[in-house]
Amino acid sequence: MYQEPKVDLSVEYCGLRFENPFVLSSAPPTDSYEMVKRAFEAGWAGAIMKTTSVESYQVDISYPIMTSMDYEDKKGVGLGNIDNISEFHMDVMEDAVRRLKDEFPSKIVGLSLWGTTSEKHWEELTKRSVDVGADLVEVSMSCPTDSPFARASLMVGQVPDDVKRVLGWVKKHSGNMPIVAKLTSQVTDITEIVEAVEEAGADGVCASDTVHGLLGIDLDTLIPYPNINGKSTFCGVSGPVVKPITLRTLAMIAKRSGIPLAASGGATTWRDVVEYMLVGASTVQFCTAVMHYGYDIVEDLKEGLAYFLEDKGLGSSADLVGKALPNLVPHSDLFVKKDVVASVDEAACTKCGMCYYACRDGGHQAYDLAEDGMPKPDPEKCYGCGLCVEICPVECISLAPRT
Amino acid sequence: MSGRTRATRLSPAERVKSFEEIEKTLTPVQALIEASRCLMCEDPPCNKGCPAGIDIRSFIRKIRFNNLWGGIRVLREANVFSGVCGRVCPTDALCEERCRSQVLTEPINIAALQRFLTDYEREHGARKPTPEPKRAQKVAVIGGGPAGLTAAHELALMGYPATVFEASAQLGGAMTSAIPAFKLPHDVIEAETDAIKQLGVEFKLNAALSDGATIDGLFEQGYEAVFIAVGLQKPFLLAVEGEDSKGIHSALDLLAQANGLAVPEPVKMGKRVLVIGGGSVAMTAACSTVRMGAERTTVVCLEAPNEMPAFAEDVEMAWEEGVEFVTRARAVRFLNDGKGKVTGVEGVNIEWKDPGKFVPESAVDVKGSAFTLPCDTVIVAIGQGPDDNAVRQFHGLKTNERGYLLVDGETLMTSRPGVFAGGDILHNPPSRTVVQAVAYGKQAARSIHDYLSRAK
Repeated sequence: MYQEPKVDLSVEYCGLRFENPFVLSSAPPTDSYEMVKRAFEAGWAGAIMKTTSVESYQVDISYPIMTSMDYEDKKGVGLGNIDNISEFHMDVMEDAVRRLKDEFPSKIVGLSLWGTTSEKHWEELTKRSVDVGADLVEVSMSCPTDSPFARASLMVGQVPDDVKRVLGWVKKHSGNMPIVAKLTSQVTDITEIVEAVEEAGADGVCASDTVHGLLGIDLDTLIPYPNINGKSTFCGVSGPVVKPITLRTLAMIAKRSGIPLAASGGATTWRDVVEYMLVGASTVQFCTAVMHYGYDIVEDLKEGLAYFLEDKGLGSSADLVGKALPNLVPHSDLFVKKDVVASVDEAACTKCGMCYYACRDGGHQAYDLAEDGMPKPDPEKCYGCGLCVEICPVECISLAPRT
Repeated sequence: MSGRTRATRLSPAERVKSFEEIEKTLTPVQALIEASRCLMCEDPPCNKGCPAGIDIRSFIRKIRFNNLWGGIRVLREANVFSGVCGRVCPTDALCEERCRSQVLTEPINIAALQRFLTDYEREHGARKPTPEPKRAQKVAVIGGGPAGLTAAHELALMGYPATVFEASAQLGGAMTSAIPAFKLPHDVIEAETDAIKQLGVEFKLNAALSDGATIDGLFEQGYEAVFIAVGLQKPFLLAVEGEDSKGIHSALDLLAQANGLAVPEPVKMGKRVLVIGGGSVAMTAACSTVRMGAERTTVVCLEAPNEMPAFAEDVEMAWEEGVEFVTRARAVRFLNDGKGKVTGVEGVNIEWKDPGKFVPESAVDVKGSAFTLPCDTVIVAIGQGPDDNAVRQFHGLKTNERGYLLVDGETLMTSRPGVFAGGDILHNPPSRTVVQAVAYGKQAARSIHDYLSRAK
């Protein structure tokens, strides 16, 4: 009975039309036809099937593969996995693509490929992707995590020459099917990698893959998480903790290149999606939020974005792409100023004193506490650093113009 | 996992000074904290506890995922009185009762989250629903309380021209007349009744059923279905000596007056007030007397504190505001000053003949426990029943011996085809609450639609 906002959620990426910007990334939620079918029914616009390989390639996975980082009472602020590519090979994924494209012709179905150092494997996988009618192919460059090329400690996506080489192998056989480089953010200069992507003639970039880390160590056994028979290894970290890294990676690429961008890593709500689009992403991929809360989150992504666009008077989500980029400049270009000071809304303040401590030991000792505990920032001492604004639990501090 | 998030409340000292709403709305930060505690259960128990059928899990999830307008849509599609219910629903006995967050800390504060969304909606300007194309068959709704208004709203959404006939001079029924503003501010009711008006529902005020305006007459005027939701307007009497003394009023009159409505015999609030009754109406009446200038208010009720039918939070509210309690007691006789003005009550303590059955028939006087309490004002709040005039106008519709209407549980149709009934006037509803009335309104609208679709 409530009409949906009259906005157009559809976006274009690599010449493909997505009915909305929400896409499942190549990951556990896209490991079978049946899973993706349910995701499409829930409203996702597209899915990149979990990374797959030729049938002769052996995929070893050591379970358990999951570990997570909690912060205080929040579960899963970061999710770590030591998963591998799919245990299902190309034949299973081909079947999935065929059935999904047949049942959901307007949805976008991509394949994510892994062919190791073998040009032959890459060639075979690419040709089979074209033949089966995949809408696009992602070239996995940071999963599996250890590169089979010369510098084994590095991922493919960290070595420009390897990036170019693998993409070149794929591009040679891909015909009109768009080729996307799925990159890692863990490089010294992402633009150097993107140059290699462009030189190889790839059609788009997906940024970025999980961030390699170590989520924690069991203090009793001294074994890091996850524990596999007494040993562990570094894992790929995803979830809300990696959002700032994804945002920066996207912005860095978009500032330097016009290559179509898909975002991946750290989005949970439509607000995250809008932010990723504002720094240049056309589509936004999800995995961890779905693993935590299920495919249904797409309902709130679609609806939240639609209401947002309507409230802002925007007709289409495509209007968001790149709109924040002009506001992003090098640090050295920032206008030097010190013209704001902390201001406390005393009616809303709980007098907890967190701002006082933060300022005393992490700021400029600008706060005093009044007799009744009310924090009083001294404009003479306050630099306007903003620390107190960020840590206030009731959000009652703002930065006001210095008078 | 933090505990339950509660909105700011006025202190008892502040709140007795006026009828200002006691509880404030959650701040956005508080709402997010509370929504994030929700376990978002598969097969959620909260949903099963909502008579209005709100998908509670869904709207809480929408707060959590920053989709506030989506949350508002979920509320509005299920309950046109979501703002009212967010304030007056006995949630601890309904949606929150089996909330699984209790395993960790406390149930989610569902009422506060619902209210947060509706307050956000009111502040930002509500989005309007689009009704189905107009239909020809007219429906008459008798009674402008929550059951009748909900039915009219649902019918209007389905395209039916609906007319509400309300006996009094204002809409809202008990919401407007019997719930004081410190629990339910008028602008909340007004915003939600306005939403119904905007759908084109026609309202006729001061339009009670009478010999000149009968159910037959409605059919003659071309209405093809009638929904009766007249509520309970007749306050019960104690039937004890001296009850006709001056200074003795019904809680309904007192609360109507507190809500700024005209009453036949306005209460002249004295200093020493007795409120007879142990239900939530008695508690809100007692708290109203405190705000209207009573110096000392005492509740006299049959039940011990843990036996009272009032919702626990209402008892606590009265207690916090300094209301005194004389429990397991009953009024035997009112005293007067010889000129008919009440001066006190003679009472006696009781015990239960049938322990666990807290009804007047089970009360037995305790010998030697007689007492006298002085007073200059008495408020009787022992419930209400069907209004004699309304019952007379039912014209043979099947009722029980006390005038409550009997209906088919599935269709809500009375013994007369095309005449439906719901809300408090029904015999034996699950509860006599706003949310139950809303549930009846929705059920009636669906049922009337089925009936009219078949009749075509």
